[in-house]
Amino acid sequence: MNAVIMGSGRVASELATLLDREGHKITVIDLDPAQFEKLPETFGGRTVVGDATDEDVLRKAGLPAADAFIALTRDDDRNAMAAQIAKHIFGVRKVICRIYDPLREEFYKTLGLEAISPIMVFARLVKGRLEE
Amino acid sequence: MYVIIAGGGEVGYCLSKEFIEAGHEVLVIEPDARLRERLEDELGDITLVGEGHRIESLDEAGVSRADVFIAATDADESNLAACQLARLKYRVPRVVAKLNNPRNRNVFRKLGIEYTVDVAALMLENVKAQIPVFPFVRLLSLDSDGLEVVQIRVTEESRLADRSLSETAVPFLAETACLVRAGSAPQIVDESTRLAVGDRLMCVVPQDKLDKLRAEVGSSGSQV
Repeated sequence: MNAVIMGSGRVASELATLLDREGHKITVIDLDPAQFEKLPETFGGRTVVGDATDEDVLRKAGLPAADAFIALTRDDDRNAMAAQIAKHIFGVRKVICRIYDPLREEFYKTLGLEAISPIMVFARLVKGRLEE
Repeated sequence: MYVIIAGGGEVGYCLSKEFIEAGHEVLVIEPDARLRERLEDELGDITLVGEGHRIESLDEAGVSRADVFIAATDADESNLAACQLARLKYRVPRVVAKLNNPRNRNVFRKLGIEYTVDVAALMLENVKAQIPVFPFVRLLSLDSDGLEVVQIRVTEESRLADRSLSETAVPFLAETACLVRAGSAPQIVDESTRLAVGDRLMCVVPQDKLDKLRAEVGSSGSQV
């Protein structure tokens, strides 16, 4: 799989590392090149410095040939914008975005985006454990 | 009309003032206390603490009964999020976004936000309109009608100089035009109107013919 990840924070770096280890072709985009230091020495993917809500940066990161795009910055607005560009302008098949705000997670799902709220995921997980 | 504006900066302030003076109901959603204070001091009790991209704020503002929603913050991604919520979740009939980065115009359009105001482009065209070397200036976009108002200036190098309109492609490209010439009253042109250096034509043009018109009236060589 050819995947482009927006953001190089903790979750994004972990995901990039896991996928890279399994032999997938990974590109990570971040505004701040210092964030790439979170990636391990062994990381074999590409890194691109730039704003992933910009079509040109996404093109440079290889979106036209990507099978998946995952938006994982801290900013819901930027994640939602980049994910929609990936889905509707570049036609990427699998697009996932992190939306912290549970109310907006619902809204973006109605727009057909695969949105995940880590708050809801964690709350459901804990509730499940309590009910075990 | 009930007008909700997300963002109480300079643009939000000027818009609120205009709408209030025209007798409309205005609410500005703004997180910054200093900006809210300025609005309240000058325009009264018209602000709400919150952010236009937050559903809690939009609910509190009563967006579902708004006639117009304007996103005027300095972040395009927030303006997009706020406008999509207003348009698609709350069904506000008229939604407009301020564009801070001109390159986002197409992105907004493709993601369902048809009406955008490109601040940088407006500034650029306004400056160009004041400087006589630019033969072609976009003055106003009438997006809902697919029309554009442009100014054509007849310069020394222009192909239009010393010709009558029937000898140019202008009548095929512009719906109508008004001639502004120093020393005489503005007049609606017809095919016999003869153009001289220094003349300005204010044309109403379908947006799909803009590029052709620009090519037609530009001086050979310069691409501005």
